[in-house]
Amino acid sequence: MKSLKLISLSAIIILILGGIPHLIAYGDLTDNVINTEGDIIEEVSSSDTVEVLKVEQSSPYAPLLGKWKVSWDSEEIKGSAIYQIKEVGETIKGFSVKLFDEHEQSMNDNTHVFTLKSFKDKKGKGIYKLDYEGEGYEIPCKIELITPNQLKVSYDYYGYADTEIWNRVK
Amino acid sequence: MIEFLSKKLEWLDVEYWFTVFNDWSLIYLIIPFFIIELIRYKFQGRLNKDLIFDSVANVLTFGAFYVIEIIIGILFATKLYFWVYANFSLPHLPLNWATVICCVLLADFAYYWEHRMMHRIGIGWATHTVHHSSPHFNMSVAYRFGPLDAVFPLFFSIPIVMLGFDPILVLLSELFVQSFQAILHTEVIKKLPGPIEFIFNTPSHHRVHHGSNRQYWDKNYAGILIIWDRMLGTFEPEVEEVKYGISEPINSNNPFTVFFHGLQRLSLKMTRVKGIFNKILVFIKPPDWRPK
Ligand SMILES: [Zn+2]
Repeated sequence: MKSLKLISLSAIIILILGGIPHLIAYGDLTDNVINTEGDIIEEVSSSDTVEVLKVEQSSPYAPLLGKWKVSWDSEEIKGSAIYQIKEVGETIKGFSVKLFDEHEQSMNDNTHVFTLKSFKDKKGKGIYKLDYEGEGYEIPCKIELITPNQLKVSYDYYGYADTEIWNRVK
Repeated sequence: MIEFLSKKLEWLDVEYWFTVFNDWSLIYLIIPFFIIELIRYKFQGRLNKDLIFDSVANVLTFGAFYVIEIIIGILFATKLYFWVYANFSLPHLPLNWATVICCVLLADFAYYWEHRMMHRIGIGWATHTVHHSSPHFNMSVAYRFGPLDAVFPLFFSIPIVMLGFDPILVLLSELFVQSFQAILHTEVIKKLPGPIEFIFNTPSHHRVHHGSNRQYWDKNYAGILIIWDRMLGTFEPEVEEVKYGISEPINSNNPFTVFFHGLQRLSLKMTRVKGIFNKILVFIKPPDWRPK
C-alpha cells in the first residue's frame, strides 16, 4: 500500500478517536455552567453538617480525629498545610483547612484531601487526593499511627513513592 | 448515548476495572489456560523437555523485561509523560466513558503501528524477534519479551498524551491492549464466530502473525482490533497450518541466548556490512535488507 494512503488513513483514524472525547468534553462544559454552582452549594452544606456532628470519643477512629500539620520541602512543592480529620456521616474524611507557603504566609482552605478506608491496630488504608502537574489523583495510601501525635502516610503510585509524617496540632 | 459517554467516572473505579483485567487476568485466565494447554500437549504426546524449557525461558525473559521496564519507568518514562502532558498537550480531557474508550482504541491503534515498526525496522526486530523465536505457541509465549520491548511503546504513546489523555490512563490502556493480546497465544481455540473474527484479533489471526510460512510473514499486527490490519493492508487469514518461529531458528532454550539473540545478530550484521552509512541503514532498514 502506498505510504501516502497509509498516512492519510492513519491521520483520519487519530483525528476521529482524538476528536470525539474533546467534542464530548466541550459539549459537557457548555451544558454544565449552571451545574457547577449547584455543586458548590452542596459542598458547603455538607461541610456545615460536619461541624454539628459530635465526635464520640469511643469511636475506633478517635485517635485519628483532629488537626494535623504536614510539611513539604521538595523540588515540586515547598510549604505546609493543616489537615483536619473528622467523621462525616459514616466515613472519616480529611480536609485541608489551612495552607502555608514557604514563607509561612497562610491562606484558608477547605478541600477534601483524604478518605479513610480501614483502620485497625494503629494501621490503616485510605485514599489520598493529590495534585500533580495541575491534575488531581486519588491515590491509595497506607497510614500508621507511630505515636498518638504522629501519623505516617505513605504511598507508591506508578513509581511516585513518598512518605509524609503528619504531626498533630492542638 | 452522549449522556452515557460524557458521564463522569471516578479515577478509582477506572483503575479498579483496569486492574481486574490487566493484572488479575493472569490468575483467572492465563494460568488456567496454560494448564489446559499443558494437559492438551500431554494428550497429544507433545509434552517434552523442549516445551518445558521453552516455557521456563519465556517466563525468565519476562522477568528481565519487567526489570528493564520498571527502571525505564522510574527513571524517566512517567516523568516524561507528565512533562509532555503539562507542557505540550491539548486541553486535558475529563475522565468519562468517551475518554476511556477512545484512549483504549488509540492505544490499540498505536500498538498496531509500534508492532509494525518492530517488524520492519532493524533495531525493532532485534528486540521483537525474541517474542517470535519460540517454535511453540501457548500462553507462556505471550510473556517472551526482548530487551528493548519496553522502549518502543514510548514513542507511540506520547502522541496520545499530547492529545489530552491522562498519562496514567494511557499507560493503563496500553497494558489493557497487551493483556488482551496475551490471551490470544493459544492453539486451543480454533476459530471464533464470523463477526468476531472480522472485527477482533483472535487466536487464529495471531497464530498467523507467529507463522514462519512465507505468506504469513509481517501480517496481522493487531492488538485488539483486526480491522486495523484489514484497513492498512496487512491482513492474512489462517489457511495453511502454521509453522511457528522465525526463518532462522535459534535452536536454544538458554534464556540469555533467547533474550539477546536479536541484538547479537544485529551487531553481527553491522560489523559485516561495509561503510558507516550502510551500518546505520542496518539499524533502520527492514531486517531482511542487504546493501546493494
Ligand atoms: Zn510480532
